[in-house]
Amino acid sequence: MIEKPPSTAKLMISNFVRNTTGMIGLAIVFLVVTSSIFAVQISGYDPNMFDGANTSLPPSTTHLMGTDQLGQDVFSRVLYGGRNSILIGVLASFLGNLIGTVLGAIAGYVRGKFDTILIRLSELVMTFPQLVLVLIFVTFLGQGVANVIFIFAITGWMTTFRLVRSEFMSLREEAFVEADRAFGFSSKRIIFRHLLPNTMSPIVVAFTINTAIYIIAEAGLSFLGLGVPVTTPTWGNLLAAAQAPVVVEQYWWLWVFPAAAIVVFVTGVNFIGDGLRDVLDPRSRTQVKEASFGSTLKQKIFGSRKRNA
Amino acid sequence: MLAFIIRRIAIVIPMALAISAIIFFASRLSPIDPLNSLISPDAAADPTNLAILKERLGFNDPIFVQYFNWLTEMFKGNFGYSIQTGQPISEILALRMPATLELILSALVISTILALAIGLVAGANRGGFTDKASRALAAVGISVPDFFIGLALLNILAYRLNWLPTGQRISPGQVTFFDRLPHLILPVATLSIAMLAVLIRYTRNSVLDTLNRDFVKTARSKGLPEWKVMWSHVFRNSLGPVMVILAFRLPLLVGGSVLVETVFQWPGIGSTVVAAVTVSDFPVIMVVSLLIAVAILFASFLVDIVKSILDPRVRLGATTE
Amino acid sequence: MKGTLKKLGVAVAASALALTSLSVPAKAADAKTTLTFAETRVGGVGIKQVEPPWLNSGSLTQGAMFRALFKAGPDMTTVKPDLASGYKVSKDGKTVTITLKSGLKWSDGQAIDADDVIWSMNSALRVTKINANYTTSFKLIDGASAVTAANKVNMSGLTAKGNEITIKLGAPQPLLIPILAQFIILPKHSLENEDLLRLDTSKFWLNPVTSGPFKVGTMSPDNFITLVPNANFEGPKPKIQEINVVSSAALLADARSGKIDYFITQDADTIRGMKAVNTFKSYQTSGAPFHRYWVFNLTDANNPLKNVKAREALKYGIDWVNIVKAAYPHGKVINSGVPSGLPFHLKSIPTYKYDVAKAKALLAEAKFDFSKTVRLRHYHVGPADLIFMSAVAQQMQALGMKVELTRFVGDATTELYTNKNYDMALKGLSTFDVSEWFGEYSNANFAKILGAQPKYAELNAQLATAVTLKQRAKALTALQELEQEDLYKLPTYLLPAYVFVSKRIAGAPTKYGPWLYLYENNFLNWTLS
Repeated sequence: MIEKPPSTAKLMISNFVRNTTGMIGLAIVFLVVTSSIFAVQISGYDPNMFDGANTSLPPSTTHLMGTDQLGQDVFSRVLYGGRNSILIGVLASFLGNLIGTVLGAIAGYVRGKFDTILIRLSELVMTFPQLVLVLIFVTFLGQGVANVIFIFAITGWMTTFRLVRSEFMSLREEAFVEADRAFGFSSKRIIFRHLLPNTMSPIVVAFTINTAIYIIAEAGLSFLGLGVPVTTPTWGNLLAAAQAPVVVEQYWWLWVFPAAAIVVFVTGVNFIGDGLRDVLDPRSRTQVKEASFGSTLKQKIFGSRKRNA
Repeated sequence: MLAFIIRRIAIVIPMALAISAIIFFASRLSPIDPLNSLISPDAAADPTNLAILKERLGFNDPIFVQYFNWLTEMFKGNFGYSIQTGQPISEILALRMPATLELILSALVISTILALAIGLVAGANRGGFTDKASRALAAVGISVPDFFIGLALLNILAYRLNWLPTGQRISPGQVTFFDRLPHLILPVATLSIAMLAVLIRYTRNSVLDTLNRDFVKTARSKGLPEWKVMWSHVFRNSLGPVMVILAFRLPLLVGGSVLVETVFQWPGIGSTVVAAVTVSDFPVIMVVSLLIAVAILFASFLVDIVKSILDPRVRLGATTE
Repeated sequence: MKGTLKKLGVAVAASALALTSLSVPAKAADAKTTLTFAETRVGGVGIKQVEPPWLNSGSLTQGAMFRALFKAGPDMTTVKPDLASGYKVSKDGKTVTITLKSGLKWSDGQAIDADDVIWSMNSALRVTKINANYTTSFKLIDGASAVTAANKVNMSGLTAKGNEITIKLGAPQPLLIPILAQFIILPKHSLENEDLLRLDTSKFWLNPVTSGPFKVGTMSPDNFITLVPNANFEGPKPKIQEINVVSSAALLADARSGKIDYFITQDADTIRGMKAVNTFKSYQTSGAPFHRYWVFNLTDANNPLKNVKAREALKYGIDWVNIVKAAYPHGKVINSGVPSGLPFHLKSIPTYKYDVAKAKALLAEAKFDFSKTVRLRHYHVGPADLIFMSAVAQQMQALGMKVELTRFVGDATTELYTNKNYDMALKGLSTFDVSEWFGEYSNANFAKILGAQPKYAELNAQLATAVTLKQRAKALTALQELEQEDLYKLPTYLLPAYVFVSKRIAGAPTKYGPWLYLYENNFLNWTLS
């Protein structure tokens, strides 16, 4: 039997505030987001300013992270690039979660043929190497910020889908849903008023984890020169400079700093995810008997923490 | 059991066909003429000669005929030609597949051994140094892009210190596996480090699971030495779930190797895909993705069967969750 | 089950070892006589075969294995005998007679004869991957239009009698001999049964029958090629006994550590980095310039740059000199198809000067529509190219334009002339002769983005048949004036290549010709220490 979460928002927030990992994560994310919003003010340079006299300079007091081949300030570009990278990660994750939630809710509630097709599809998409899948879509759709977000979303809805689906499957058998049905409530009302709110916690956790995954994925894709157009600075596009071995060797500041920004931010997001998992998932504090094989997916999201608390 | 296998095959085959159809038609709908790349922008081929080639390669047939021909040719082992290089795709695969397998399997073996060792120690001494260190490693490990690790290793060990090759797979004069081992070290290290974070987590959890089982408690109460309990009871029983995860991860590794192969200019499937996507080499993309899909279906088929041997409930119940 | 899993693990490990023990035969190399050459021309991963020489032929590998009828000097205009001992041009310039050396042999021992030459020149008109220099030139030979891949008809104007080959032309063609000095003669007996439409992927290229001093010893596709001396080569024996052809993953690091001895590159960062490597000498290549320039999709009525004044504004609104310097420190900004410093450059053309006010005035004059987005495209993938493109995009934005910059996803030919989803695109062209640059204006591809260009076609015809310097000067002046008037292409910069030669090589030349072309480099006398 699954215990119902003690789900008042207030309680959750106060629990989260007491969660060290989560709060550290939140502080990191807040810091990175704020500084990327005020990129120009903080660095003192226009990220797109071409300066032919100061090209490829190593880090110094005037340029904290040095300059690139066009004399642009790397610090400013790293901060500025954060805007787009974070935006892409968050939007793609949101969209992917939305797709996953809608499909999961329908599949879990309606079941039948529809469910079988979706579950097969999700299995296939999930086991297909994501980067290869993304690359295939890039070939068809071309490069662009919107395209990248869309591609990430349609290649990354499965985790949420399966979570929501299995949550719905178990919840729809619960007494309170039975009662709803007995009262003659419409399916729509049951889904939106009663079932969805009860599945929010895994969705929120999946959202943070996917955000982290997409930011790394964007970096990889742009490193290959197949991500967002170069005129949109992102951490990945900055890292693309490292495609040239000479840049890797001689201008380390061009790729180490953007990579460090990714690591810092993604660690922050993952910490928030860990914190949220502790707070939101009742199972993290209860012993649940889980079949070792069947729920590898849940393990992926919840597993590592379930015995740590 | 036989009925179960047949049921699974009945699902796998239509899926493979559906995937092949999607891939084929999607690629033919693209606006790129597969013949155009036979000429670089500054080279000149006679339009008449191109028209002859187009006819000969069957591009003028109705699209369903083309699909049928493509499918039959695929079964015969003729995977078509790369747009970019004009080579038969079967030849490209024959060259590149062993390179990728060499990379992936080496990384798989090394990271599994390391992950098992670390995970076992961490799980057995929960809260100890190894446990804390491995958890920190796992937390940071999943936040670092794998190609960044590769670039850092390359920069230090190959470019600056000149201890290892700067990339690629075989240098002139290298005959045996041990001759060219230096080429393998950095890409395998990169891929292994990238995999380690996740694998350690799995092993540790699996060990913790097993430690809570009754038979471990029984063994301990019988007064068996701790190392013996760990080895013959905990380790062996924790291995099962980890192995299944490994089987699942094999296709995913192909994705992981895309970036690593690019960084190290390793001539494998991953760098082939990147090169193909860069110039929209649809025939190559089609064949590689189809093969990956078939490999995945086959792997999941095997995993299902293994699961059903282990757990008869799977055979009786739904094949899904 | 436990047993099964254990077996699975063992099987995985075993197969990993089995796969990795696939070996490539090779023998230990002697450093004193083995030269390692880094092939830089092929993009992407490694080496897949000997690069077929009919598209580009200038690499050291090709030079060591293949020969043409003549051998050009580094200046590309004077030629020396190679497979041919000499040639004669008739008074009217319409008949060329070439005498083949006798007693020459292919690496497989067969005789090299006039049939090989005739077969090669006819086949050049049948293959799909061929350098435009050859087809343009050979199409002026009588009867060339009858030759297609579908038939076996040969050019009527190309005949042989013993060792004497006669070429009959419709009009005098001054470039024929220099072009024949680049055109590699291939062995008819090995190739006549190949599918010519797919000649470039034939198995022949894994171990080609050669006419030069070397042939393939070991071919390890994706990894390396080892060349060994060709015993049937009639000339002096090479001092170098083995050439390793590799594709370096990091030129600078490999050169510094002595893993490679010789390479050519255009990459700005590598050229800059090599300055600190004192075990190498560097030389800038001359001749056959690499043009980079903008082409405009003018058949699209919505192109905001349709007005010539708007295109002229780009000359001044973008700081070409400094951007080129930042992205390609060795690049040179050009303002004409005939770059300054070359013969017949029109000096009256003003150089590009960064002047935003002038650019804005020109845009106003053109009634430039700032609400439209300029679709800016490129197909080059190098890091320096990305730097260049994004700098241009930024400065166009600074002029108030909306800009959308992406790389062409498909192959360049389709994207440029068929899909045409762009307003301006950066294109590259390596020109053997300046006529190639102007030839573009009236070729079939450019007609798809510019419409028919009879004026250029007429002037190009004059240029092609110009025999005297005066005729040539007249045609080139007219073409340059027309080019400036129309601005269909915006010449932007030249990208020179650099040759890097290890100091352990003695006897290498001190003057290098163009990158993608063959010329005398005295290779047989190179020695290693």
